[in-house]
Amino acid sequence: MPDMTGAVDRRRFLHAAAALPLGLLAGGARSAEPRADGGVCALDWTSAQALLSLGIVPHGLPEIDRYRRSVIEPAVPSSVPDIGARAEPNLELLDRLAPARFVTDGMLSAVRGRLERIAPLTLYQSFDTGSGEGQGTENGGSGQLAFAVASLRRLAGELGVSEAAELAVARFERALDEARARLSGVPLRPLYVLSVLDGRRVLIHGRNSLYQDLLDRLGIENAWTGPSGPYGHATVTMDRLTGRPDAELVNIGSEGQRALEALADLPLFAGLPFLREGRVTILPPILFYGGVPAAERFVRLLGERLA
Amino acid sequence: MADTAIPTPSRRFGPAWPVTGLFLLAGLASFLVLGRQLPPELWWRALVDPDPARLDQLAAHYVLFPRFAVALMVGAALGLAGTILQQVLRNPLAEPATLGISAGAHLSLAVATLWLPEALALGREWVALAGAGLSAAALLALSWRKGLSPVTVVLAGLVLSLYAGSVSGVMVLFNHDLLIGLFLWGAGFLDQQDWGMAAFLAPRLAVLAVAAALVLRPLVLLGLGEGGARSLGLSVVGARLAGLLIAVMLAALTVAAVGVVSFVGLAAPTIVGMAGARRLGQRMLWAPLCGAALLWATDALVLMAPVTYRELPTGAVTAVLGVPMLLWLLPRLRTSAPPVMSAAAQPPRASRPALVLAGAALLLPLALWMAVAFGPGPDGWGWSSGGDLAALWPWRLPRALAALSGGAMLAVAGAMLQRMTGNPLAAPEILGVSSGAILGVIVLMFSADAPERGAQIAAGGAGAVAVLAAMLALGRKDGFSPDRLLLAGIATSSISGVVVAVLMAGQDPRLQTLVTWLSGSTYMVGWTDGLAAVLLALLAIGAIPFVARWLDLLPLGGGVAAALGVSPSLSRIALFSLSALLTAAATLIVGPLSFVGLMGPHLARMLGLQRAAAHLAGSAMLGGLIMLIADWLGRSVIFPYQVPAGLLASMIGGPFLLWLLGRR
Repeated sequence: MPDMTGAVDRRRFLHAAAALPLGLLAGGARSAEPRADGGVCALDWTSAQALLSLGIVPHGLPEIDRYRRSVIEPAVPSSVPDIGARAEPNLELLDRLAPARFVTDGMLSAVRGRLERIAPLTLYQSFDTGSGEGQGTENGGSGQLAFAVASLRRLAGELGVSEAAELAVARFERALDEARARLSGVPLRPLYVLSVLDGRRVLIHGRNSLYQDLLDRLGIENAWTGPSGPYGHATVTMDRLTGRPDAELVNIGSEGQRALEALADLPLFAGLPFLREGRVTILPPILFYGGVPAAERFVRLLGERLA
Repeated sequence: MADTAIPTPSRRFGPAWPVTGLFLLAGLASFLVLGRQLPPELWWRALVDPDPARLDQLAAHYVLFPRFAVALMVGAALGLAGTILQQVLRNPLAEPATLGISAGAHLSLAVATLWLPEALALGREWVALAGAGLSAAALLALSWRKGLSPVTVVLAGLVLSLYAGSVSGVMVLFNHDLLIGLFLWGAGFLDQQDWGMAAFLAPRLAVLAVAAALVLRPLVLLGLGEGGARSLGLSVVGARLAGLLIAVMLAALTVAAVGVVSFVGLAAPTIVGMAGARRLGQRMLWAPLCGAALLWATDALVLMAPVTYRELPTGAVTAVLGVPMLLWLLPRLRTSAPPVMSAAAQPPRASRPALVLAGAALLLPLALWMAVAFGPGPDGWGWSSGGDLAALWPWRLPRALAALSGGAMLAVAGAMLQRMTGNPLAAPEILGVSSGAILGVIVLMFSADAPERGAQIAAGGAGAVAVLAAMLALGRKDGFSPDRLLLAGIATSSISGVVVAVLMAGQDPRLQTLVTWLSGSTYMVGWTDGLAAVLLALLAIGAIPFVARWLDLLPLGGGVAAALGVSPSLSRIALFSLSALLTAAATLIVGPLSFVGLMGPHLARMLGLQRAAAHLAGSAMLGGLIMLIADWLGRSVIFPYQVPAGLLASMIGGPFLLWLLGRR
């Protein structure tokens, strides 16, 4: 048995495989086919978003149906093959698809060795989980937007499409300007940006979230200054949203409407000003750690719905 | 309940002490929590008539006070349910969670969330109650023909629980993002926002408490054993039915109200029992009090915990308080309850066990070939050969081998444990070593940036070895009494339960891979671990002849074994270490979902393999086959998506085991 854990190139690997008894039993050796340029395969949603925003249609993307429901933008063409679950993209299928390169957020590190036997990996991380719990940078922002822009530029550079990253960033800046223009005449209150999870709890985005930077750029205050975790959010009960009586609430995710109505009926929450006075805005789903494309989607939707 | 009024004098310290201590702790913590929110002179005002303009008073009235009330009621209900179940099922490990009640509620909530959101609008507690009720009905129906015999009820409950658990596991796997509310419920958060839940629970629990008091007498008689109870004119089935119904309804209500609260139903009766409450009447009085105090204290401590970006679910944290307490009490536990494998449960012995084994051995290579060569390809399903196969088998064979070997190891471990302890519930995962492995992997996942497979195995292995060493140290004192080891194992397991529940409720994108590994996936297996698994499985099978004699003799009792030249404690430590090592290895390779550790041994027994050597060998082959087929199906049926082998094994194997159980 050859050393399968080390870096064995694919050709030698197949030769070795075919020389083993089972391969012989099955009808002899097969020569390894030369690999044509099979395109770039995205192993997770943020990578897929990044590729699509750079104008590259991924050759393979996990959980496409759910992507179309929960991430939505950038839209996935119908020709893209589904490679299975995000946690377990199908290795057998990936081998058959024979991409020239994988883009991954690093969560599949446990199978990296075997993925590398199919194609080289490019790491793309859209969100800085090392920014610490609830910490912002010195100048007040979360630094997530700068991080996301830098990651997208690095990815574009590695894929040899640097100018596409500049286009994507320019698209985001344009969306930001449009949102700012729409909101110019509107009195801006502090915002709680959250998703209702169940009858009493919400996922709320704090100081080290991507949204923090976007709110800063729009000149809106984030009403939640409490703790937040490595992904910039915290899970809290609704009764903790009492700090800012003047605030407005933005719920991300279409199913939040009913939950919020139910909450407004409870005596404890009936007093919460944004529920009592109906200062609630519902946005469709956005991938909260999705980098530049997600940022573009957020500012556009917020500008449209808040105005 | 006349006899409960006069506590029997105890040589121990008496159940009043731990209960009072817990209540003092809970009271103190609650005062501190309340004091942070309101000055003491306003507490009464906030409880009875809060000022609607004052948010702090409203919060005390609608959040804190109802929360205390719910904690007390749920804790008491779980303590009572646990006591009744331990009496009816005559098993010190029986607790509400083992009967499939919470798993049924969990499943119904998952189904409702995904496909029937209108039902959830009616109220989550009603959906959960419906699920719990359905699984309770299934439990009683399945064990009815056996006269609700403890072994059958426990087995049916376990299988139901695993089955419902794996069905909802599959839903979670594919709808992770939509089910966050379900994880929150599953973690057992006690927080309230009005008095609705307290008002829902109070009258129902009161009725059940009265009912429990009414059946005290028949339940006491059940403790005399089947024959004794019958000779005193008791309808054994009637008494069991009454006890089970009450316990199941208590469990269903609590699970509907607050979700899964682990450990209280097991810990409360155990604590009062060890503290000196011997008679059932005493235990049925003190265990609910102890449960109430335990849950209230835990919840008050949770409320005192510093505020971070995630809240701790009380239902999971109970283990943090309960585990040290149980571990401290364990060495003081008197040798308990008679063995549960009653003679009535023995299926007929096969006339030619060798023939059965040979048949299974023949199936193995065929199944292995199918798993590698047959499956969905670019143009539909088919057998691969030649060049196609050469491209495919490096992906498929390591996983097939790992599944086969992992299944075999877990089944051998399970068979050894079940024979050694005489407890049909002794599944490998409750040894605690898989929890050690889980914790090791989780720590690595959240501390290292992009851990590779090798690092994961090392971290998991370190965790498993640490737990194993702790268990051995604990067991030394008392000659490795099986019951104590199992209890300690369950205690350890609940710690990993806490960690996983807290993580699941925190909505961290990194959890996806953890979730699949926890459901028994062979996805990450490569050549190195696949071949290592084969080697270990062969070693395990090679060890069978050396341990078979111990396993034949140990169930006859320590005295008999010693008289025949087998040192009970030496053989137990060897068997325990061996099963722990096998479990740890299998956990690292195919994940901790080891339903097959229960199913393999039980199937082998039902096929008539009774003697230890045949039983172990049969378990290994059946366990391996089940996992192999499950892995193959899991890779193939919804290609390119995959169902983890562990999940699929319980989905296929569960109904089969139930069918055998009912037919027997």
